[in-house]
Amino acid sequence: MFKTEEMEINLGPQHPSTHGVLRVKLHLDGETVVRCVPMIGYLHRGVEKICENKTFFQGQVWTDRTDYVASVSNNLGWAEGVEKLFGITVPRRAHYIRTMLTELNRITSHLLWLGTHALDIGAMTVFLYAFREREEILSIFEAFCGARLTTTAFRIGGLREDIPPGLEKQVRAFQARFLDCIEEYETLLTENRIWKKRTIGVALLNAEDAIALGVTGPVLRAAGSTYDIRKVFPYAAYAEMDFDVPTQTAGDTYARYLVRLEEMRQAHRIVNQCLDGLPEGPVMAKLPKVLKSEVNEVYHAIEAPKGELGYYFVGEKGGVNPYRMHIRAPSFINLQALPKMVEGRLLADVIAAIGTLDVVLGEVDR
Amino acid sequence: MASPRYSLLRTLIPFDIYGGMKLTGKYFGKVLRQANRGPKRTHVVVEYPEVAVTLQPRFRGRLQMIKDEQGEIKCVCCLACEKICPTQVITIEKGKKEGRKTPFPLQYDFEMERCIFCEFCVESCGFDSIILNHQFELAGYDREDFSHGMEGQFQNMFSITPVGHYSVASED
Amino acid sequence: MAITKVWIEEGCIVCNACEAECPDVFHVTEESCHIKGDSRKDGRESENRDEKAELKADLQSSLEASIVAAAAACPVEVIKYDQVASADAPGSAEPAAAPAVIASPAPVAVAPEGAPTAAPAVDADIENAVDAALGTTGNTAAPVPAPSAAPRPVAAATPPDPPAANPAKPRVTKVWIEDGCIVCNACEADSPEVFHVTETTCMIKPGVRLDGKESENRVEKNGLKPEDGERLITSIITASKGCPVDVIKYEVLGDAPVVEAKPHDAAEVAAGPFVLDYKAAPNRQVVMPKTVPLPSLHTYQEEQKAAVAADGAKWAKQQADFETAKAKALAEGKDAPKPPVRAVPKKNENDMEFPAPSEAKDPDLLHLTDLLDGKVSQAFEQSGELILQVHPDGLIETLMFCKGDASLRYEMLVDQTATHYPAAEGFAFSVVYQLISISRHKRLRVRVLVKEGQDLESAVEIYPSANWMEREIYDMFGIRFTGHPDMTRILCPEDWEGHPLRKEYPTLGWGQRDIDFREDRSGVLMRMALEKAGNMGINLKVPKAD
Repeated sequence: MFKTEEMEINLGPQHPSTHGVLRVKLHLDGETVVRCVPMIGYLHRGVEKICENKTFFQGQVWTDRTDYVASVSNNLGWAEGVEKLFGITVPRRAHYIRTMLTELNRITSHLLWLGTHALDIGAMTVFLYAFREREEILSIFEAFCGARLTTTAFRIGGLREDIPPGLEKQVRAFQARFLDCIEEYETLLTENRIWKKRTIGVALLNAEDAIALGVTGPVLRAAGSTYDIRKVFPYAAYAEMDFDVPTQTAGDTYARYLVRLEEMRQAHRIVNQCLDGLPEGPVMAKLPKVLKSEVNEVYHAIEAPKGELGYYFVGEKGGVNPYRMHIRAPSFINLQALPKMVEGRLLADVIAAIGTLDVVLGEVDR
Repeated sequence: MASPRYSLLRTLIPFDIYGGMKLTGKYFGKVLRQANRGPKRTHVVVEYPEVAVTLQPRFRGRLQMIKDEQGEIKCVCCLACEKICPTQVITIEKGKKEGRKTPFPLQYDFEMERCIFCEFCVESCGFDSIILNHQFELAGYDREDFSHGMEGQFQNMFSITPVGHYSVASED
Repeated sequence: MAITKVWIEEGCIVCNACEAECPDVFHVTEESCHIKGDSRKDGRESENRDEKAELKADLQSSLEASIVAAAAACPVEVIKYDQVASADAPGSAEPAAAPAVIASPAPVAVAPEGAPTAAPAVDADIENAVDAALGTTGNTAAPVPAPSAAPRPVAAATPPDPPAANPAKPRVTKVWIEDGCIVCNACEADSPEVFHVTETTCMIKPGVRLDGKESENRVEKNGLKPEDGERLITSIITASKGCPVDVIKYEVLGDAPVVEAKPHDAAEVAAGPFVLDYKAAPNRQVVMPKTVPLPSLHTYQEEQKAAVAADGAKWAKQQADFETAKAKALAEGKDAPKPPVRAVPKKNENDMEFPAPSEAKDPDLLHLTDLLDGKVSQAFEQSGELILQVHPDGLIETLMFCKGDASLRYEMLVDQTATHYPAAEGFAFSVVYQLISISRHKRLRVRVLVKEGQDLESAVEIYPSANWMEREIYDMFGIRFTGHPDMTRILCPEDWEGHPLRKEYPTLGWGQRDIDFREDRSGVLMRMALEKAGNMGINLKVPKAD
């Protein structure tokens, strides 16, 4: 008498909760998701092709525009990748400043994720608190390099300039109150019954699936793995830093929330260590005026806020441009896990799953 | 995890909701009582068009050319900025001027609508003849508004574009 | 051509432009620019203004282009050089091969005044002029001073056909304009007697047509008057070649190719300025790579060996030269020349050292080489990374070993991408797999070389994360993977043509609207192009002002 039929709907590409232009094709049986196909490419700008036609120096500005909420991390990946290609040794002070800014950038990225993810799920308040602190860090970036989002913060071989006078005070003022701010977010969310109902057991991804699908970053660590590039393959000044890698075992949205909050605390610790142990010295390596590469290929990965951010360079003999440049974008690979997380679950949890993966579409499509 | 009894208690009495409301109430009361008059402001929002925004000294705004003390353009047309610009927005026409030893830019074309404000041009300049100034209100109604030519042509490369010309502040 | 001497005149503004162009010769100090001692015969480092020491012989021709570029880049034009036509230069214009001193931009030592010296160089100069006018390569060569009476390129390059050579004279019977004229005036400039460009399209003039009408002649295909068709054949073909959208069509009666061959070159030269290519062309041009930058231990070692051998040979030659010079000096009773000093390798003052590849010592690489005997092409280490190159047949086996072997345990495929090598022989792409072992904290790169059109086996069965990465490789390079569950495009739309990350794909994509990014709002580029062309004696037609 009654006939049931699968329905196909499009979530996005213009949907407030997809944080960009992500389109998800969903086959629904009632409210249950039967099949989920992410459709990407709406923001494809061909960053890799552009960078192949620009010099090593110029290419950095395009890395700002891939993951635009964590541009300092992208700059670091580019700079260190090129330095690895040429075999450049960077002064220690530059490493410390880079580490400090990258960790501050991790905080901004996680704060943006926290605010918008909570907003998607229905917790309005925390958004305002998260953005209050984010604003302060963006001012720090502005003081350091002159821009808030598209930072272009580093240079090949070090930094353009040393930190300006007064920046240390500014960072310390922020550091002094940031732990209390995390307490405030926790007050609003961690024990909140609505938050827990919406997140516990939602968008599950266990460690085996995560590793098989190439998922990295907080999503992997929330499933129990301790893989963190800062510890495993230390870069910049991380080998000299003392910090923990937070992990959870549940592998659901709530676990990822806890991991990211704890990561902010660890980032806070690292920033403090960088400030205290900041060595004296130059911030720029001695380099020839024109950088000409030899035949070499490198893959350099750093732990971006969203996962493993890898830059793959192929250098040509005497070339001033990279012969080939490839970005291993963490959001792109992490988004592959979306079908695994939502198939067989409810439609409303798709929003939570997209939010918890923390994808930035500028990076997915490049 | 908490004991079942505690769990039941927590279900019945909304401690968690209370905690959140308390935090919100705290900030609400603070702002209401203080109303941005105290020495340490609670507000983080700037009432922008009415109150000027404080910018950091290294802020990267619009490209501007500099003259030295004699009112002479400092640029010597070494084309370093034109070469390094990632988006190729700078075009310089090299020329000569009476009584000047170094070359003189007859025309310094800067297409602001494609500029990405990376400051590579300023970094590459060995003569400190260009800077990125602190102007950030850069909206316009017309493409001509973004053409910052030399003196007398379009808008001026040597001074700030009329600040707030298109800003909300100038409407009254 | 070669450059024998370079010197810096007074007035250097220490702008670093020359060192950026040619770091081997120029070194900019705090006060002035110096010619490096390494590049000079006397080994001193100075401005070389007074002594005018010669450059080393091996650098004279190899660095010519970059020195010329540096001289052109100098804003105050103080870099001067002596350029001579070397004896083995093909088609040397000056039979006497006397060192024609060409003063770079500002004439210091001007070539002898008068037209005859300038005339043979006109052809080359036209190319330079066109390049310069296009604004693409402003610093290719220094212009010859003012060939004031140089003829127009078309006239210069198309001498009138000898009528006796061809008894049945070829003539154009019909000429018409296809759909798609962009009203660029190029044809009217080449052949004003035939073409007339109106506001909307290009017309064939009534004077040359049999029916005496003026139209595009597309539908009716009316014939040309025989005498006009015979007389104007060169200019019509020139115009047809010069048309940027190729809409001018014609029919030729007679021996067409003979006629076509000569105007062809002329048309290309003539077409440049009229198309005003500086707007669209630079980003449409694709410069294909000539080298194959595939890092490998073999090639590196061979290069090193060759470099050592070359160095040894050079030293031996220097010594032999010295011996002969000594013997000669002794025979003539003069003082013996100074013995040569072997060049010491330059000390690296920078914080930069090229990470050279080294033999595989890592147990993983050795273990994998043992496991896959015969399928591993090479295994080496570079920049602290392990690289294993395997045959495409052994790829899946390799990945299975990497994942399954108890002593390897590479659990995760982090990244997979490809590189296009159009200049390579035997393969066209390299595909790399970046593996990590989370439990053992190791990284490994597996590389395969793929031919054009060759399919690879998909790694999705072993590493599910390869799914999207292989789709991306297919999208960007066109390499297909067999056994992949969904081999479709991922970033580009389904109906996209071409594969963007191949080297032959232009930066401004096919099918993309031609956006005029470098808009010439105040006419700077236009004026520069006109002026440069004017200096060369080319009369550029000024385009219509809108």
